[in-house]
This record gives sequence, structure tokens and C-alpha cells, in this order.
Amino acid sequence: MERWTWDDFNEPTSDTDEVWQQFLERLRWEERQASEEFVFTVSQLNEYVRGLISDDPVLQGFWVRGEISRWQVYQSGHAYFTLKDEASQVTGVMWRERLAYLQEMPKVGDIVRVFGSLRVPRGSAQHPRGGEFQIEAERIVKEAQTGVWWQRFEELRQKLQAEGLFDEARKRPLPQFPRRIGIITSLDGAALRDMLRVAQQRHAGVEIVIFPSLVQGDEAPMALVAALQLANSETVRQRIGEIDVLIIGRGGGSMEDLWAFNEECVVRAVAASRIPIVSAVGHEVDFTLTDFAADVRASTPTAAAQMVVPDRQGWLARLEQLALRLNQAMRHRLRSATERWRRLAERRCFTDPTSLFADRRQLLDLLTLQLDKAFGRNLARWQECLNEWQRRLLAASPTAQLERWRERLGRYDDALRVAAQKALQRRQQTLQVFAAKLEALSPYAVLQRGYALVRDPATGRVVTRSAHLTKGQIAEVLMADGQLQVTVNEVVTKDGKDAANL
Amino acid sequence: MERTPQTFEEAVSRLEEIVQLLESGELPLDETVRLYEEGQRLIAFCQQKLADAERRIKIVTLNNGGELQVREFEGDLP
Repeated sequence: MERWTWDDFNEPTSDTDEVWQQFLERLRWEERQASEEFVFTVSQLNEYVRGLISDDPVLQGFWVRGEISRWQVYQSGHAYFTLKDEASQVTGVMWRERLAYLQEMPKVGDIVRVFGSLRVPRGSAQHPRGGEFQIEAERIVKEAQTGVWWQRFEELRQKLQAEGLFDEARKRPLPQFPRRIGIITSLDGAALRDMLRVAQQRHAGVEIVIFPSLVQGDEAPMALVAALQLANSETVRQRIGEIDVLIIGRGGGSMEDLWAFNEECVVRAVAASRIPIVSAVGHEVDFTLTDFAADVRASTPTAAAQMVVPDRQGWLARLEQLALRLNQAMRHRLRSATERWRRLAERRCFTDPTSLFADRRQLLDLLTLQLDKAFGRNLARWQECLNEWQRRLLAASPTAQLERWRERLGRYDDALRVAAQKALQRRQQTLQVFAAKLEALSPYAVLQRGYALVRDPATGRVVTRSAHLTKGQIAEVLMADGQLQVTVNEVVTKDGKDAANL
Repeated sequence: MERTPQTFEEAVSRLEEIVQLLESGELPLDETVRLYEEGQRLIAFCQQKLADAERRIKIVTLNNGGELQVREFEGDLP
């Protein structure tokens, strides 16, 4: 490969990119050469991983839950175990010193919570070790047992569930604003402190009634049942007042510590509580049968108090909101009422009220006048009115108008008469002309020349054929100066048959 | 009918009812004014209830004779 200097890159060339790629390639090649000179030994690799793990803060103090699948205490006093769940497992060790603090030795099958850190053990020449990690356990807390108790828990759960004790339909809502809250717990426990602190913060106005009870140990179940019965009792209702909601619970602990809340009598008493009830047993992860039987399960006593004690600030805010809405609604209503009033006010009867009364007022005047008249009390005024009307009538007299009309009528009359006469003359002339023409056409004019007309007196028709008359029939003969009444002697038609003689 | 609320809850639910009635805007003016005044009284009542910050904690037990024992909680809160 050709040697080049940095100067080559200072001058831009047409193939700068190509040169740059070559340069990068060379750098990579040199790097590869260098890295191949460093090779981990196995120990070094494991050591490197050790460092990574021990530097990680999460892995240096954590809780892990699992089932003990192996538990072995060596002669050295150290315990070695394997923790597993459905799909995975991890090994661990608990040193002798830590083991001494364990209250109870874990057994295979126990569900435990382990607190510890992760480490990668170093091997030695005699005992070479693989690059595996293990838990260095500091505490092991038993969570549940596959033993008798766990079995009892499951059996009781199934039994009570079948009875419907845990049904969703049985759950009652909690009152939004309880006046009196009952708490069933130990007077000495942290749970009570937590709940009272929350109540203080949220709404100290609420009354809290504590029904102390043992929450742990053999006597706890009966104590809890007694407290539940007391809280629900008529005596308490009369002496203290109605308890609006109950909280039953205690702080966190082992499965055994919480066991009282799994006892059948306690669970049944919780389910039977007349007062709505919140369970608050242990921590988030702890479940007891009391939780199933209560109306509401709170994850912790603190959460229960937050659930039950109304938040004064929240209520104040809500009240403020309601007050605002109330005022807005009122303002809106008033505005619309004002608007309607304004629209009404704009109507004529209000803007010009006299118009409403004008007619009536006039009528009133008239009636008053009539009244006056009737009582003859105001004749003078009436007379005055009359005079006034008379004067106005005279002023408006139509005499002159009539005269004018009469004159005009006279003129029309003359013109009409002349026109009528002219029209009449014209008609007469026309008539004479027509009469002369008519005369010339008249059959009577023909009669003047010696002809005669034969008419059937019965029908008044002119007889035009000899056959229309019969012998002995009477006929009329019209002549110019008169008429004859004749009897037919004989009928003779032109072809000679039955010719008649007149 | 208007009546004096016994509890805070009752007052708030009546107040909500009133606000909804007023917001529907279909009531006669007289009724509106009457409800508005009732609403104002309810708000005052509720605020009074909330202002009541007296701490009242009782401990209730039964003694050996089965009688109710009531005493005040003396413990201090952290």
C-alpha cells in the first residue's frame, strides 16, 4: 500500500470520498491488529463480569421471591439453596452468621422472599468454578407454605366462595362522607398510627371510634370477632352513634402473623358486618380471606384511611365548584328573565300605554255625558255641544254644491234630449227604407196583383199541394183585400186522379 | 319541600340536585330564586361542617362485666 501524508487530505481533490474511505479502512485494519494482541484469560473474563455486577447498585440489594427447591446446610454452617419459579432458577448461599438470625429454617417447597446481593464466586486451583452468579442472602422471609396452613387457606377460600360469601354482588359502596369511622386493630400497632395520621391530614372533623383487638396470636381470631360484633352492636349505636364505615386490619407481617385474618370465624364475622367494611391487612402483596369478605380491600392501613376519610380540601373544592355553578345558573336565569322583560317592555302597550286606554277613555267620556244628560245636570254643556255641531253642520252645508249640480244636470238634460231625438229620427228613416223593401217582398204585395193564398185554418199553414186538402174540408183563401172561407168540393190533382173542385 | 339537612351528604346531594334544576333553566323565576337561596344555605351548612376540625377519637371496649367502656384516645400522633 502506498504511503500518504496528512497533506494529501488538505488539498481537496475530485475523488476526496474515495481517499477518505481508504483511510478509514486502514484505520480499521490497524485497530484489528491491536485488539488481537489482547486476549482474556477465563479468569479475567469472569473477573470482568464480577466487576460489572458488583458495580451495579440494583444487584447489590434486592428482594426476590421464589420457591425453595433445594436447601442444604453444610458442615461449615453455611446454607446453599436454589430458588425457582415456573421457568427459571437461581442458586444462592446464606452464610453461617446470617443463618443464625433465621427464626425458622426454610424447607423445600416454601415460598420465600430473599433479600440479598448478586455475586460471581471465584474458583481456586482445586475447585475451578464456572462463570455463574449466585445470591448472597441476608434475609429469608417465608411467605407461604405448601404445608397445612396453605392448604387450609385454599380449602376455606373455596368453601366460603361456594357459599357466596365473596360475591361481588354482596359488596356495598362506602359512604362518601362518613361522620363516624370505626377502626378495629391493635392499639399498639403502626397501622393505627398510620390511619390516625391520614385522618388528621384529611379531615379531623370526622369522629373516629377505635375498637381495640388483638391482631396476632391464638386469641386474635376471637378478639377480632368480638370487636366486630361490638362495633355492629345496638349498644354502640345508642351510646356512641351510628358507625358509618369500619376498617379492620393491621400492619405487615409474615403469613403466620396475618393468619388470624384467615380464620373462618373472622372471615364470617366480616362478611356479616352490618356496617360497610374495609379490610387493610398487611402490605400490598398480602392477601387474606378477610380481604375477600370485606366490601373493599385496601392494600395497606394507610390506603384504607385515605379511602374512607373524606378529604376536606377535595370537598371544599367540590363545594366551591357547586357554588360557582349555582351562581352561574342563577345569573343565567336572571339574564334570560331580564331579556324577556325587556322584550315585553318594548311592546306597544308598554311603550305607549295611552293607546291602550284611548278607546275606553272616549267611551267613558261618552258615558259620562249620557249620564249627565240622563240626570239633566249638564244640559247647558250638551246644548253647547249641539250648537257646536249645528254650527259645523251649517258651515259644511251642501246647498251651494247642490245648486252647482242642478245646473250641471240641466245642461246634461238638454244635450241628452237633442241626442235622443236625433237618434230617433235616424231610426225612423232606416225603418221606412226597410219597410219599403219588406213591402216589395211581402206575399201580400203579390196578392195585390190577383193571386190568392190557400191556408189550412186548422194549422194556419199555407197549403201548397192539392193533395193536402180533402173533399169537404174547410180552407181559407187569402186575397189582397180580404179573405174567403171555402169548402172543398173536389180534389183534382194534376195527374187526374181525385181532382177537387173548389 | 325544603327541610334542614341532617348530614353533610344529604346537603351535598340536595345541592347537586338544585344546581342541576337551575341549570336546566326551565323553572319559574320565583322557584329559581327560592332554590337559589336554599342552595346558598346548603353551601354555608356544608362549609360549616367542613370547618369543624375538632379532633374526636374514642376508644370503645367492653369491661369484664360486659359493660361498654368509652375513653378518649390520649396518644399523640407523630
